[in-house]
Amino acid sequence: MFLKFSNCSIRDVLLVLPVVEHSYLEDMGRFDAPLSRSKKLADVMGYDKRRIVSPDTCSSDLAVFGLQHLFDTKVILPHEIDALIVVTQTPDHFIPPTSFVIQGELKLKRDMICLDLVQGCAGFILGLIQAFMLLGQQSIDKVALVNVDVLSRKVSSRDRNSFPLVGDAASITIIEKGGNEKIWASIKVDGTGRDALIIPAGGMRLPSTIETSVVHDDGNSNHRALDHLVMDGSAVFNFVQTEIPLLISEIISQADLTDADVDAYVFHQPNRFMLEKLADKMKVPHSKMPMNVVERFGNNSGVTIPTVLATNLAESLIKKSGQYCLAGFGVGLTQASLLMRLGPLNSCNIIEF
Amino acid sequence: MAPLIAQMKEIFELEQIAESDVLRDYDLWDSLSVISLLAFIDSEWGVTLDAEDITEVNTVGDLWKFIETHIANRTQ
Repeated sequence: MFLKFSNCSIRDVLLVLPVVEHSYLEDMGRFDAPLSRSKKLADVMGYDKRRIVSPDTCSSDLAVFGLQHLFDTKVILPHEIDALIVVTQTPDHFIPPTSFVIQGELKLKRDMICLDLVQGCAGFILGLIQAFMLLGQQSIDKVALVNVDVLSRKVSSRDRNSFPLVGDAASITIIEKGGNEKIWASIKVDGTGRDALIIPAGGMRLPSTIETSVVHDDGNSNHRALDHLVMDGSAVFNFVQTEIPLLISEIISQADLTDADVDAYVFHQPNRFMLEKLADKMKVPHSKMPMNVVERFGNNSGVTIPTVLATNLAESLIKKSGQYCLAGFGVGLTQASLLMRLGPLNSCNIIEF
Repeated sequence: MAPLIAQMKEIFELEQIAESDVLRDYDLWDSLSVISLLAFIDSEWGVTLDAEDITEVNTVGDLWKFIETHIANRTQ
């Protein structure tokens, strides 16, 4: 499905990173795998360091910290936020929505919209699309989009497949009316792939019990409970290789552009290996597709795309305007892409929690 | 099959790979080898296999037959 937007622009990006850093090789020390094999895996897949929250830190904590920083540095004033969108798979509670927790904590105005979206890998794109739609309203001038997850708290420490690569983070993006550039978006969904990335228990289908907290071997020496995240790496790999090249070529041709017009491909980061293979399949030079988020910060779910913006591309984004192709793909299964001009941004910073 | 054998020698760090070898018996058969193998099969022949497909395949020869069938199906 193609969507078109105009008169919207991204003004600020703030990345909030937890200060605690783990090292992949240290994490792998807890498992039986020989060190040489772990080193090879780290080398091939692109694993090194990741940032994770303390076990009692919630999504709203990271978001409130980040928004307060934006208020303190006068990037935006509280009353200017007309809509707050929180994209998370790790809410503070089932109810109320985490956007309300944040609104209450920060004493934002009453005359505004608060909205939670449950999205992961494609969450930045879906959040932006929601923001663009809201900005079509006369009464909405500025939207604060929060992407946040504390997924490390839902991963088994004995799951060799997932534990050493999951990271936590939050990003806050301020989007406002203005700019006369066209924005194209494309979304495709496939719910038959829902088991590729899933936390089986804890919702209404399978409520949490003592049984769902018991850790079992999945047959490949990965130990996890039904309460924990399970990721089918090869299913995601196949999905990405098969679907994403087409998603991107379609949106670029919709916009009457070519690959040469794209300054960078800002993609969700499952790991460097997958992005290398994807870039090769798309015949895109690796220099045009930043792919080193996971080895610096871990796979921080919906925040990987803003992480690329705030790290790899910050300098360019502050200085000048460029044509960017964003894409998120994963949980759902969702695939979403945005083709838009970005920059020069008002601010693009990183703070630590 | 030669490119497959050559790549498998590299992935599994072995001097010899025989058609009759049982995949799961390789010392270095783990998630890293599996994903390296899948990535190679995709880039070499444009055939996407997933980890489930791999579990249904027993020997190197079986794997090659599987790949050949997929190539044939694709060109139809």
